[in-house]
Amino acid sequence: MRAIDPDLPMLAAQAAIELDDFALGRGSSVKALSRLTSRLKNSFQPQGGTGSRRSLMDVSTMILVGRALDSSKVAPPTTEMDAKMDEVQQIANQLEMVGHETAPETLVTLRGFCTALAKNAASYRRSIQDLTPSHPFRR
Amino acid sequence: MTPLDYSRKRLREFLEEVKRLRGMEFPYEHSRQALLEIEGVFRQHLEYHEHLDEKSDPSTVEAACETELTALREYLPFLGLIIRSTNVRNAFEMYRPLLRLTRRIVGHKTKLIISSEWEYSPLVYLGITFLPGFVLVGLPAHQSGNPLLIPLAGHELGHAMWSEKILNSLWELAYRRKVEDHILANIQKNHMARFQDLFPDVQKPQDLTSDFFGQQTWAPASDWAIQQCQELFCDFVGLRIFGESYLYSLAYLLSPHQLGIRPVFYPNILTRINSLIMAAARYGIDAPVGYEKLFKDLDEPNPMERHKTLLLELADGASSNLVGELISEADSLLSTPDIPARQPEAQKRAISAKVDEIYRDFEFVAPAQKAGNLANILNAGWKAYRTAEFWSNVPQIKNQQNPAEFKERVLKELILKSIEVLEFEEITTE
Repeated sequence: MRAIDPDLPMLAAQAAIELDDFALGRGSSVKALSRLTSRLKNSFQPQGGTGSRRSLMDVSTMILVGRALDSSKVAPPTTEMDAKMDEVQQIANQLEMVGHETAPETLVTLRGFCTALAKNAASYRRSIQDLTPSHPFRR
Repeated sequence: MTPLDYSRKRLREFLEEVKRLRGMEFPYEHSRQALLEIEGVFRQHLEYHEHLDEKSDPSTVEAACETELTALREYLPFLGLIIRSTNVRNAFEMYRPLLRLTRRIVGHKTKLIISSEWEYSPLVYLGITFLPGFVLVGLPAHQSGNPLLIPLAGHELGHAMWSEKILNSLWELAYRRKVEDHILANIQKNHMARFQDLFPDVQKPQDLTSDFFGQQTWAPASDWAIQQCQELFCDFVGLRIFGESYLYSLAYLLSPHQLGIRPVFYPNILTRINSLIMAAARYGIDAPVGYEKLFKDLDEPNPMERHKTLLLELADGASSNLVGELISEADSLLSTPDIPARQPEAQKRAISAKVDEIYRDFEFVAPAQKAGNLANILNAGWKAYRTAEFWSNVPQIKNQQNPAEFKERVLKELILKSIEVLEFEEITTE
């Protein structure tokens, strides 16, 4: 997963809609959820024999996802990178298991994460675009 | 009306517009295919919107509307580019050879759209998730029929290669790690006190990597350095494919420099030029003597912008550190028989002889035959363009009211005709 992925905001928003449908008891599709989960899961190297795990996310993506975790209050706030990585992995596992049996409060938390991710990803892309010099007469 | 109502309406209107555009005539099929892809994506997003109603979570509705609006802003310009790809000011002779080249270096299923754009610099849109495999190249409208500037498309194709061959491989991770390691080492070795002065949250060196806020302090430098690496790589790709003609066309477009502060995503001009000269030496390409004197650096940011100045210094250091590797990477990715290298010396002499042969065809105002590749034609074209006495004895040219202007016009036509011949030869040998 990369913060600059152009489809990340839309994908996260669609995943939120699927979670919302489950929260309302009418969920069926997990198409966007699966794609988002797979991106999150591909962002970690599997744990090796040493038990170490390394994030494959670049630093901007890690910040983006970390902020989404903070604003959706998935876990108590922490600034420790290792703890943040644990949270990301945990949320990826929960997203993967979403179905009719998922507890309502879990659905709400996950939905909050997805909406925050959509907003943060769009804001990040916008901030990158704002660095491009625009035309002096353009308003 | 609620934001959701507006959002749905906007989506439907956008889709109507795409449908109307699909009814137009296009000079090549990829433009129409792009419209179909865009239509599919936005139709799917509209279907997601149909799931939302008054019972839906307000934050989810809000996020859906926001992303729809953002996507429309991002995709509407593509519709414009696709329409302008039909404009007769485009030199359609370039299309097939550039598509062929793109497929050789990026991927055999790549789809290409070339358009004349009202932006001064050539540009490329790629890695568009909703247009997978598409490369959209925009050339400045007033130059889009000028074949002498085709080499600049090499830089844009470099972006496509970066997206396809680097971002999708372990190279991206390797480059990123090197950039991050260089930045962190540079801060700790040379700038720790200055850094802590600007970012007091960083209390000890370990905070730079282990603390969530610590990481955020230097993250922009890492983003900028990676972008700078990409721009350098693209210059090397353009140079490796088109040889000297890339250097001439770059000078035509950029020298000495435009006024203003340098963008953070590019190395400053002289760093780019010196890196190109270094790459030319490695690729066996003769850079014009005194080439760097044609250019000047853009202004650095105001020193009062202390955060930006330091972060940019870190980014510049990290990207400069990778120049040698990027030169080798471009060379290795382009090592195919279709893009002959100018090394060893015998190969360089053979290319030079072919360029001279085409030049002699041009002297007779005849299009080149068996030119071999686009680069040979363009290098011969630039040689003729830069030779003051070229055609100076041809009565039909020297007797014109403005012989230089007439020469240029005829030469451009001749280059385009040679490109057509090359394409015909390619088709007949397939």
